[in-house]
Amino acid sequence: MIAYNRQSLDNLELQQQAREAFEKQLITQEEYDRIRTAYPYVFYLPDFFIRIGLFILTVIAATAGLGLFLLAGFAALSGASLITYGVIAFVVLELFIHTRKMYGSGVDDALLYFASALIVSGINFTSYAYLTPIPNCTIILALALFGMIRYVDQLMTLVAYGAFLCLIFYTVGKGGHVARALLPFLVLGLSVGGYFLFTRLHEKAALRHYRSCLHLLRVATLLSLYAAGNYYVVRELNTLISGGPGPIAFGWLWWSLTALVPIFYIVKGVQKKDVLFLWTGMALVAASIFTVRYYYHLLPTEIVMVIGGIALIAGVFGLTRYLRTPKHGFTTAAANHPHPHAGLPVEGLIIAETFSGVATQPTGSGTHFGGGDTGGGGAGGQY
Amino acid sequence: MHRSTFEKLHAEGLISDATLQRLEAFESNHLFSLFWQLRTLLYLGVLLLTGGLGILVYKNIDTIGHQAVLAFIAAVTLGCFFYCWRKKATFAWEWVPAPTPFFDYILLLGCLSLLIFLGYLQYAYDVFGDNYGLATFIPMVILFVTAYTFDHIGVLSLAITNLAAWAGIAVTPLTILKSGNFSDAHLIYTGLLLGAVLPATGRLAELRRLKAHFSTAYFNFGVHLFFIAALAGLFKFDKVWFLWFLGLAAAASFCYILAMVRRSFYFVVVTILYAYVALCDVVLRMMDVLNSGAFALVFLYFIGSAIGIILLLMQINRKLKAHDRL
Repeated sequence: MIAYNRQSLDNLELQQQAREAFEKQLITQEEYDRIRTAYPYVFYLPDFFIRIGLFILTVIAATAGLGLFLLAGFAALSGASLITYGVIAFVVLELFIHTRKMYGSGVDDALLYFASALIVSGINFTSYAYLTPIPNCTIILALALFGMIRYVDQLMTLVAYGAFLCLIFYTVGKGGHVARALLPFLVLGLSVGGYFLFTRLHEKAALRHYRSCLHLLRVATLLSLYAAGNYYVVRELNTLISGGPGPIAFGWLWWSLTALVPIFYIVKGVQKKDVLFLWTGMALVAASIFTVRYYYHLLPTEIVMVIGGIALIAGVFGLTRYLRTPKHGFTTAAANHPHPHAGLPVEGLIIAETFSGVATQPTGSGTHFGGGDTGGGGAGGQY
Repeated sequence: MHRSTFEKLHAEGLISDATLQRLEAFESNHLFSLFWQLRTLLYLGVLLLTGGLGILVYKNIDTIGHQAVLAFIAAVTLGCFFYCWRKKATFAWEWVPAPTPFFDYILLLGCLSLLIFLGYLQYAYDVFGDNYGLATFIPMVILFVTAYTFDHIGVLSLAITNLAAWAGIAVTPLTILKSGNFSDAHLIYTGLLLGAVLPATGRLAELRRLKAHFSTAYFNFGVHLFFIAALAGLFKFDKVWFLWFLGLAAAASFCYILAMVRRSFYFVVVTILYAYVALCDVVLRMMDVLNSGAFALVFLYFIGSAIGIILLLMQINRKLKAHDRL
């Protein structure tokens, strides 16, 4: 089923664990080297940046190839020719995986996305009438599932889950009044069920190669569970399928879910010491604040920002003080392995990127000089 | 990390008894680290607070409240710098780790609120008068001094961005007198100059061991600035484009060799991609597609060149990885 060499996938996983242990200085250099020779893998696994470069160049080459293919007169720009080219791209992908042993090399991911996108658009081209959402979702779901199962691709996993939710949404949306009213509950139920299912599958040794995908699916179910109960999502989607804007039934229920789900995730994350729940909960608190602000303008945005900023800084300050000596198994110290991009000015870049507005805006605020300053801003905005 | 994995490795004799005990001890005493979560929240806090203050100032510019806002921003700035000054370790030209987990963020908050404060002063009271160069020069100097005093790469990045803004502005008033086209040319030359000076500064920092860890920030900004300016020159100067291409190719080769010597995947890829953009521009120029209609040739060129660069990148990866211990 999996296109890649399974033995190598196992050995790669083992080597990664050994490397982690080595970086934490739990195993010695000799032991690490011995493990590496005992468990070799055949994959071509380039460096992260090389991978990005390979991805970009593969997309360029594949696009130019498509241009030549259409130009060479095999077929005019039609659905059939796009599908044919997509299939060719899949064949090339298989060839690369089997002969060049590529695995997450940038070339194989690019070809997979390129081929899938071409086939989907090819099918849409072929059906002369506009393809309705339900068959479209089905096609995307099928292709993405194929990409997930055969190539263990994480993006394809997310696309598959999204297509699945869309399929449910459109199928139920076509149903009667009762079906539509029950839609959020259905998605809630599916998310909870999906979470437990994926968590159990995650532990299965037979599915060990899919752990990264199942991990992602767990996050996706947590997100869809929140979305199914979020007031904004329920209201807007309800408007979309039934056409009648305005307040919705069970408003109190959606509001309490909007408020409680993120808190529940954070509490669960702290209790279970689960990074996944913790990060998801943190992100969703922000989503809930935006939801509330969308309907109730209690305070002007900037005041909320100032208060929120102060609260966050003070909160972190308090928590760090509290955890100065580790309590309940929590610490604020960094886990003692280096950040993957420690050697690069990533943090500095992010700061320069997000704050360059703040940095240059005030100085250019002399209104009589507005035009000239944008030239300077342009020089700064190139990063 | 799975216990069973290491028990298996131990059974196979790949790791020693002592190591297995160490691994088991680590697993049982393992503390859950909130390091990245707290850093993210702090960063968001600084982002929200400074963003909010910035908007607050601009919205209240002509109201009675603006004095109060100004006082608040000044208090935040002073408070932050006071905290950092109190906590700061003794200055050294080597890397000085942050004394507390908050240090970096409090300093960042101080710098950003200082920038807002200065910008507001200029707007409301015109403290720098019509001397626009000065209005960016002073914050830039403050940022550089702060970055070096407190050893903060983020503030250094801000300072470099401000330096570019200052250079951009310092050039522009001259060009107001001249035609619009020149303004671009001046910015291109400024970009080239800065793009050469910044990496040189970084190299000097390494050679003289003056905050050598700052060099990556200088290299990064410098390389991007240089190549973007050079590409702009290549696109803009139609008559002498060949000279620009030669210059760019020379600079890219130089950069490539340095990046290979330093074993930096990042700079190798960046250099190759910029050089590839330049090459495509030149090839398309020579093919003159719109007039000749040689579309097939263009597609062939893109396929061939992209595959060529892919092979090149793969070879580089092999070369650089061969010396990689890990």
